[in-house]
Amino acid sequence: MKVVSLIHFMGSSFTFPELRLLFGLQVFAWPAMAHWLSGARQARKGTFFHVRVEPDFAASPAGRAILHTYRRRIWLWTLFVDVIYLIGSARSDVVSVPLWLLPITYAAMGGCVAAFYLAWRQTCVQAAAVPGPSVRTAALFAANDEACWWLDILDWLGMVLPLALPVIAAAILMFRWHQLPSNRIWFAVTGVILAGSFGIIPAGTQFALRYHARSSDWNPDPHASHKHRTLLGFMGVVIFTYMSLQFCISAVLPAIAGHRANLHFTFGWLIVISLLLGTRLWLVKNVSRESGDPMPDSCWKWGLYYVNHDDPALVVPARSGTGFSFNYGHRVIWLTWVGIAILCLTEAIGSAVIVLRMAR
Amino acid sequence: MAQRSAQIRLDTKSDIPAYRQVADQVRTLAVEGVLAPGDLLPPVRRLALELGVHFNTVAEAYRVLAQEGFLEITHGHGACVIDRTSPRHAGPDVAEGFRQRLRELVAGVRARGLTRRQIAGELKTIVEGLESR
Repeated sequence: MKVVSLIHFMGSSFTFPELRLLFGLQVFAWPAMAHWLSGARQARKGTFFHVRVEPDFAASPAGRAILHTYRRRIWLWTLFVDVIYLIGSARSDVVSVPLWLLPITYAAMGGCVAAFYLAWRQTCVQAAAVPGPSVRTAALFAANDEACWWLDILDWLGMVLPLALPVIAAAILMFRWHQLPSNRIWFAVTGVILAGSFGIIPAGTQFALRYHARSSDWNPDPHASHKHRTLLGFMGVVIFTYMSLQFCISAVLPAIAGHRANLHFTFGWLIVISLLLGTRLWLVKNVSRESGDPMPDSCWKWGLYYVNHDDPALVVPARSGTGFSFNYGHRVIWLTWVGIAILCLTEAIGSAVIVLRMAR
Repeated sequence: MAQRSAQIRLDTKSDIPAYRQVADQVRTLAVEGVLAPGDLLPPVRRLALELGVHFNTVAEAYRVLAQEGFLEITHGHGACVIDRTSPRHAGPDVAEGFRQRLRELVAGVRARGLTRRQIAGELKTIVEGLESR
């Protein structure tokens, strides 16, 4: 019963103090995640703040000091951002308070990235450089065991579904355009465009993981490598597709049913999060990477971004953890991000103008 | 059909250019018979991706091998290993160059600790392999 009440509470409309408090609290998710990912967890693959170091550096006084400073910085910065937000939003109302969400989230995330960069620089200075593996091997004959029907299905679902949903929603909107209330047009159109632009990320990632990633980087065994890459992309697909579904339904429902959507997606998020946690756990336990990150250290800019113009791979394994990093040495990655950023900015500014007009 | 395995190994810290490492290894595999006439090599983009080098590096290696008569590159079909059982006539300079390189190689591995017996054993294996074909 308690769980049901919680879902009902989270799905219902929030009052102004509740919404303000919720937004204020959500920014702490970023330092909490950065805190959790730092330290022992990131040192597992012989790296410390993405620098290849001796195994005992993390436990040394210098290593501990860097980690302590990093964690202190991320928490203090987020606290600072939250205080600014609480002071600034005190005079807002329930309509305009969501406008704070993006700036404070990006400020908290940006602070975590900046703190990571500072820690990476400190580590580069204080830790002795450890040379990484320099040998790569490639099979001349394709391995038959790389093919697997259910992985292929997941790959294709991941490449098609995140883009198919907004396309279907756009088609419905076009046919039902006249039934759309005039005050919902902007939100419906931008909702579908945002769903489409966000859909490019998981679909493109799944495509790159299937066709433009080096098999041996993820696992020496081609089949395990395929499984690893597919499931890694699948996690992003699940999140973005569910987000896209929310955007699309919210955009299309007023055109179909003639009223504003009043749906609660919280229960679905619980399923999505459970699915993600399960997949991640399975990834960590069963198909963790064993090849030892053969990417040259000089290609990791700020310790975070992989930039290698000569490397044809569009995605490479992350320096720590089970994730991945895009190869920013390729123009296609930059252009995609710039395109998405322009769309998001246009949507955010347009929505802000409309919301402020409505508030007046 | 049994799964065949042949691997190209690239050392990014080696002084030898990447395209030459690739060409040398493919040539060795072709001479040793691991690559048979008619075998298709992986597309340039695929091999470059797996080795983490620029496409032009692998394309250059394939071009060198095509000039030497080991590969035939057909547009749209990729690089195919061709029969090179009737080599062109080699001049005395080729034999002299081979002798010189072999001496340097033997001196080099002796300097790195390989014994005369070990070197002789390795050379004998290569000779036996050549004679059996």
